[in-house]
Amino acid sequence: MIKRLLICLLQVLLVLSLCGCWNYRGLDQVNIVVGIAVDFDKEKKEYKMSYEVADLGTVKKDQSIKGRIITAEGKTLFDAARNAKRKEKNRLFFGSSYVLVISQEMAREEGIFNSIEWFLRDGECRETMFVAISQEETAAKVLEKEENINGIVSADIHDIIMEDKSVSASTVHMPVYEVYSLLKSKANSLALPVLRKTKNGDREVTAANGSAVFKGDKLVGFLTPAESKYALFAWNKIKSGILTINMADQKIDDISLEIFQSSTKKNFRYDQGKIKVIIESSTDVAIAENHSELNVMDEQIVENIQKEAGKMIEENIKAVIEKVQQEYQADIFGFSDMIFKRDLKLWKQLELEWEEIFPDIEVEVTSKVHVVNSGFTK
Amino acid sequence: MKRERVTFNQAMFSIVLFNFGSSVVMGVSTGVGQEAWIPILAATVAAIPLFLIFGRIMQLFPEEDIFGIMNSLFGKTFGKIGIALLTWYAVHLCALVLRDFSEFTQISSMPETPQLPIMILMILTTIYLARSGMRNMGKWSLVMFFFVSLVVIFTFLTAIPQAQVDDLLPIGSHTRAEYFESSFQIFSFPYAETVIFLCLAGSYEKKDSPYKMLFYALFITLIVFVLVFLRNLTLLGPAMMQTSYFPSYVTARIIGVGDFLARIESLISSNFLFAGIVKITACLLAASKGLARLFELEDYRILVLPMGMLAMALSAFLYENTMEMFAFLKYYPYYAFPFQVILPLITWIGCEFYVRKRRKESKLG
Amino acid sequence: MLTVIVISLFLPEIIYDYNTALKQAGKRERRIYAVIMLISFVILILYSFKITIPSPHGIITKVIGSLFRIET
Repeated sequence: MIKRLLICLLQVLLVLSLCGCWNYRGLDQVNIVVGIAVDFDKEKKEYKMSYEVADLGTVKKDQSIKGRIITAEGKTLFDAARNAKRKEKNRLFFGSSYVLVISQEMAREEGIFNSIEWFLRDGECRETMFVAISQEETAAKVLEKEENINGIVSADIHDIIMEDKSVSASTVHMPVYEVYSLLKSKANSLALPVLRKTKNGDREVTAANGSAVFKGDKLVGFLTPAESKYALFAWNKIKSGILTINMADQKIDDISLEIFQSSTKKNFRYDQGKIKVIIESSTDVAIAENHSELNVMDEQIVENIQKEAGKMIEENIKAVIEKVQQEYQADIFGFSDMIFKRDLKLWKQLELEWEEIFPDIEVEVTSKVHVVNSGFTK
Repeated sequence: MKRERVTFNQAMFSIVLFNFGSSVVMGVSTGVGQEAWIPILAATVAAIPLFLIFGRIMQLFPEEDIFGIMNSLFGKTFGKIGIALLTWYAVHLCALVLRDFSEFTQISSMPETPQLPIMILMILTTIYLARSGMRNMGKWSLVMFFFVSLVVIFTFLTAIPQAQVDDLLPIGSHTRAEYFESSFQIFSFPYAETVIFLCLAGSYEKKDSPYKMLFYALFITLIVFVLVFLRNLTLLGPAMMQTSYFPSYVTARIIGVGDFLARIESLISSNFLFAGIVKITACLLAASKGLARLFELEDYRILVLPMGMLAMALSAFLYENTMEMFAFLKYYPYYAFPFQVILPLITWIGCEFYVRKRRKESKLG
Repeated sequence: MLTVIVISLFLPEIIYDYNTALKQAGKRERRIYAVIMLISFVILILYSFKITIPSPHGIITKVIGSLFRIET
């Protein structure tokens, strides 16, 4: 008898463990944060955080989920996160946040490491959440949207950035854990995507706008969308995109090539105390637009297109590398890391003077372009 | 006392899962970042002679566990000291693993749940398994081994598209002392912890070679460790791998094949659970057997529950926080060395003398 | 809360064991069983009252630290 009673008791006890967490909260009791924006108030020495939360309370049949912005201030990020509770009925849930936007000013003066550190340490955020820099005066502005529009800005930003490298190739995608790794690597420099507001028709929307260059964890400058494309070439991260070239000696570019596939190899040579970085890219393209009515069946002309496109890629990659070398002195292409990984002895020699060596490193770029087809028409 | 028989596969896979135990989730990461495969290999090589000793002891006395051997070799007093030491080690190890487990659960999924309830659930399960005996633990290991290795292989394969093989370089960026320290750490945690299985010996089939069993287990463990290490490193990079407490878990959070196959970290948690259960159960069995031998009791099973409670009580006050737990990992190899290496070594030497003496006697007689 | 959990853990355990395993057990077994259970119970109750018992690791780390040089 007693055995049976005990078994019943055990079964009841088991049910208790089904609810999971000791402090269980239902879906209606949490605010699901989808995007986070961090600003730093210099005078008050306070972080101002804005969270975009998916407002599940207002979902109706004919309406999609709406985003809503909550702001909170605090001495530290976690403090600010918890302070949001003062004006909200529900606690914030960070498990599915897509994007962390940091204001330009804070990135320039405070650096981004502090914010990244908390997001990694606190288990609630995902390591795959990515970091972006706002080009507006505050980071919060990027997450805002006009009153009557449905949808969630952060989700849009997520899609824009994630798909960028396979569509337009104008910015980078950097999850938090990679940012941390890069900051701890020998290069100690990185590039992050940049966001700003722009007009799309009569609506104001958030758009990607090139990338931001970081030396250490501090912002030093920007790359335009066009420059970012060639930076992506140098990183071997490009998946697709459009190359436009000028063939018929006209004022405008008249041929567009769609990138199908591209791969870039980086290497370096060291002789007579000088380092030379060698970058070799090879790209498969298709002719996608042809204003000058060139005969694409002609082998010679295709040959010319390939040469011209190759030359253009070479020049542009070189230009963007020179820009970060000389203007920003940030090793975002990881030359130091490459030397450290492939030639440890040499790196130990160079390590101390790397700051002086870096701006003057010679870069040799060779690009091959191969036309694989010309679309539907001849 | 009725003897339970454990088959070769059951015993081998329990050793394998025992070795996975906490290591698969804590990652086999050490102070040497991207070069951790060197200490993993070095530790495996260092484990070979130790496993030879273990195997030899099992071969010489196939019907006895190490407690019985100590008793008959060193007499009542010294034998009992040895038994007491090993029993303490088993209880302590049990407490450590239990704490690892509850810390992990708390950090990863239930930050606001106190650790005690988590521990209670875990220890009750293992007590039940330990009371059901060695054989059932073997059966559990046999089944779970396939699950655990499937998870490792699955996560390894899904990690490949995101892997950065470059992260394996450079080789040779650390000092010799660092390599040695890391190797020592992996050697003592988990390889040499296999000493627990000496306490459980005596119920293996006579015809099976204990050497074969130990070395198959060592080999499988090595392969899985290298896979786990490669997966974690190429996905996280050395900096991230070294800074996380549970690299495997973080890795699984990052793995994503397309948009649909993501957030598979619960697989890693379950891995830890399934292997951790074997480790705790083995320790619990060893501790109860040791205690039973210490007080010359017939049946050890009655002691499993008290020993489990003791281990839980111990693990409750072992550390104040997680940082202490990971800081102790530095001291652990030195602390465990006498139990893992010196005690078996003395026993082995004693065994050899004993056997030789007996042989002479039988010749004379 | 934790105190309740500890008590409600030990009570059924002991009742269950008393009715099954301990019935056949000898005097010696019972005595050892009782002593160990008592020790763990006391420790856990103290733990649930937030009274910390010094951890054996303090001594272990001190001894090892004095024997070997360990950088943390």
